[in-house]
Amino acid sequence: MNSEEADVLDEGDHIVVTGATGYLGSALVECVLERGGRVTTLGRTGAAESAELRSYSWQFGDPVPKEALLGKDGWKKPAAVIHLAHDWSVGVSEDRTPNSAGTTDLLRATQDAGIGRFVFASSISARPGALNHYGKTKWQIERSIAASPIALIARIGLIYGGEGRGQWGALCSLVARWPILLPMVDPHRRVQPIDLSEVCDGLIRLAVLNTPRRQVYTLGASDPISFGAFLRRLAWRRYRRPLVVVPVPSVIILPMIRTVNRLTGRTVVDPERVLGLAGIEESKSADSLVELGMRLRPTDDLFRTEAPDPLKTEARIMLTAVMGHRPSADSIEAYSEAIRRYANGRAVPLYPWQRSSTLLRLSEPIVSDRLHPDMRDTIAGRLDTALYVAEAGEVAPRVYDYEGARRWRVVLRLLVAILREVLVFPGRLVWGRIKR
Amino acid sequence: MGTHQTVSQADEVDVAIIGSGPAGISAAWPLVRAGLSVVMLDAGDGIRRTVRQDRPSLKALRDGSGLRDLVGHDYSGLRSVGYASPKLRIAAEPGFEQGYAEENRIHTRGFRLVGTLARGGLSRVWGGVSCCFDEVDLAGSPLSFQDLAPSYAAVAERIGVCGDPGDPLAKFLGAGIRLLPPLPLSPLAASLLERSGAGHHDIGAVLGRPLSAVLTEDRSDRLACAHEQMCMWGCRRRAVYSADDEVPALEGYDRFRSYSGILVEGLVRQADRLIIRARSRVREGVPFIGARRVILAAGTIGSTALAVRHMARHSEEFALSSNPAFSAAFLAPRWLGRGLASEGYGNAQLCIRLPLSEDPKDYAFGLVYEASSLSAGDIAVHMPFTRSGSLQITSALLSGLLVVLVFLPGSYGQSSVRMHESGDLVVTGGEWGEVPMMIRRAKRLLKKAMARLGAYLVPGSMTPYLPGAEVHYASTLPMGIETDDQGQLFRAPGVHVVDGAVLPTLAAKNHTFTVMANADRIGHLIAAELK
Repeated sequence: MNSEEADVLDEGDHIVVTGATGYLGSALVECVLERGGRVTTLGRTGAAESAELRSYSWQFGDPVPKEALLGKDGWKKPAAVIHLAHDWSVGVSEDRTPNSAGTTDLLRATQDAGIGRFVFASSISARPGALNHYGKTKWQIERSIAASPIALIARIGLIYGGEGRGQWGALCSLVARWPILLPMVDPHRRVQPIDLSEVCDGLIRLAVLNTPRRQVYTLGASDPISFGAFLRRLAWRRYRRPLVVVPVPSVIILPMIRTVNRLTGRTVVDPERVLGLAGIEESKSADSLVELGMRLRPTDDLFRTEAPDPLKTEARIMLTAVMGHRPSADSIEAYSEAIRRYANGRAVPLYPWQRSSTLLRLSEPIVSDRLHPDMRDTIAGRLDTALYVAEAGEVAPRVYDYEGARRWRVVLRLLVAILREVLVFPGRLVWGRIKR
Repeated sequence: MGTHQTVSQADEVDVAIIGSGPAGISAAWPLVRAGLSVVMLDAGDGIRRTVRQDRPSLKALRDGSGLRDLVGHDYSGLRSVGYASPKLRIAAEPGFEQGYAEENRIHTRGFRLVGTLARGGLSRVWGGVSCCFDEVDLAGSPLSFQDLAPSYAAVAERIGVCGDPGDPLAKFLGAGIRLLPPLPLSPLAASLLERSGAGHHDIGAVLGRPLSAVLTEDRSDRLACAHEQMCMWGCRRRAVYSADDEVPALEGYDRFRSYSGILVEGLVRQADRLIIRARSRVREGVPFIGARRVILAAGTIGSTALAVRHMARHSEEFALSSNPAFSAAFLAPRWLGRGLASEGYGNAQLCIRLPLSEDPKDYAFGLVYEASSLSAGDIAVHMPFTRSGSLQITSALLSGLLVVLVFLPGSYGQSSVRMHESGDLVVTGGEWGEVPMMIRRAKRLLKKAMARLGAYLVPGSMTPYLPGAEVHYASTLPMGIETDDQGQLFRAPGVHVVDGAVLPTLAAKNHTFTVMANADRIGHLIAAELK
């Protein structure tokens, strides 16, 4: 903050963070520390202290501990306070809530300590007419701090990435659990996703920005995507499942949710979340991002890790056919490398239906001279490679039994395995005939 | 020291040894101790391979975290599946066999040639089984057991051979050798041995323990076996003897030098010395070595190529003996469900002698391995089931599964070697008409013997080896016919062959130890002459 030119976090810059134990907060703290900064956290639970990280206890309603906002013991004076903490446990019943009261307390303490920046993490859902408490609360807080010259407001879009916590974690488990159909309120509403690390980057830039040109910055994709498409892409690219999102009017689903919640006596689905996602309005983020010098990942690339590698795909198919479950990244790597280095380096041609490991297993070729080097680039040869990868690696504990088991159990296992092979054999034989 | 030095102009030495395998090394010691100047050449890359010292035991690696250690950090263990010996797949690096046939200009027909240019030769991947050829084995050949006895003892002392002197097969395998304490037996092996007792006199099959070139006591440069069962993957303690482990000790002698990456192409006689014509595989320059004597120890077929080229005997047929072999799996049902042994020796713990006829020379020799110290993949891959089924079935059977590798006498396994006008050597696998019958006989005996011990042949598991795949080659230039008692070629004085090529006979027993003893014997004779 001393340099006028660079709006970057310098080594040893000191940031105060609230809500440091949350999904976003913990990532932000790590990000600051990685860049050589130092962090003081304010919150109910303290983080493990170190040379670069201090914790002070504080919650909404308590006075803000003055030492937290100082530079001492060789630390610089804080450059900024980034306020992420949000108290979920209160509902909106009056105009001023503990959330907004606590925030203004913090803001005042920040100003009194002579700290020149206060960054408030708000949400794109913050609107006076927000459908859920969260949006309304965030709006209220925004209003209560807008007058301050040091306050900057970050309206954050739909955060994804990182550990499966918070709303992102909830979305992941939702998508992973529902097989195909997912009823959703207003899936056509467009969301503005932003990666967790991008949010952290944006918040840090806001913390050290020398001459902000506005007070409210929108941190979210400038090319929004419908929420349904977001979920479908998440399901497909990350979990490899097709997902169909079925729009259901809130009129129907909200009462259903409330009923279910009441019947089971606990919150199975939080209507807050449903409303929050349903009530999103788009917010222009292009200007914010340009000013901050940020370019977000295009939404087309959402969850796409890398270009699909046909060898990796084959690795998955072959290894699953051998092990009976999805392979680990190490196994896939080993298989792919082995083919690249010691076989022809390409995936073998498979019929579309053979891409299902189960069906592949049922049609595994019966080959006489399968050990011949020429067989390496055939389905049989590739399955053999997968066999070696599996038994030396992740399936080894299952294959090599050092504990021992009751003999009848072993015999039973053997008989079951043999029976399965007998059942499957005719199909394999027939398939071989057809192929030839 | 000496591994990457350029051979200086006109190196004149007493003896040049071509090949750094067990034969070459065994011939070198007596020469070096006699104070002669010796140069050893091999065509390998000169890199001494080590296994990381903190590599855990086999059991520890099988907890799911050992993939890279078990298939190699370069995944080379995945480069081929099942058709060669497991040790060639996993203990040897990818380039181990590379170049042997090409550089030696060897072609094969119906013969699976296994060879290496690497320092240490095939002893880098052998199983350590050390057998003496006794009077019976050598009967009728110019070589007698008395000739070899001192060398057997000397080599055993030098490399360290362990075994049980009280074993039923001890005398058959190695009379008169001082043995290190034997390796521990796994529960399964111990139980089989106990049941077998002194042998089955009606069938004549005798089960016993092999003598193994494995240290059971630490030495200065090699450590005792730590029972980690990692033999198939390369011993990190150098407990199993490998010829390249002795090169540093030899280099301690001033007048010994070794060079790698040198491929010998020919020998030229010039007055009283032989000039070695060679080229370097790794750098520019043509080394020039002149020696009073040249020892060929490049492995049976490699030495044969050099010798036949030197003698310019094109289009002549030389007989090659190899041991026809087969492997079979046996299941001891009583052992199903028992946990695998968490530690032990991973190579063959037991061996078996199977008489094929009344003639005491006519016997098959089998090595018994516990399947659990092999890779389950090497077993499962042979099954006709789906891969996942094969793995499950193998896993269920593993604790009671044994793999027996049986060798027939070399007299049954005649192939031929012939050099073309071009100088290329062609190895043609023999017809072996008698062999299927002898294999059946051996198999019957084996089945009976194993059944008495409570182990039964797994149907369909009998796999005959292709000629050559068992890697026991010998007798192309047999003593008394092509070479004299010093291995010196009758038609090429000054050139001595000391490896398997000069063995007059190839018994069914593993022949490496005998090759080493013979090389040692020849080394002593040459040393006496040249001193």
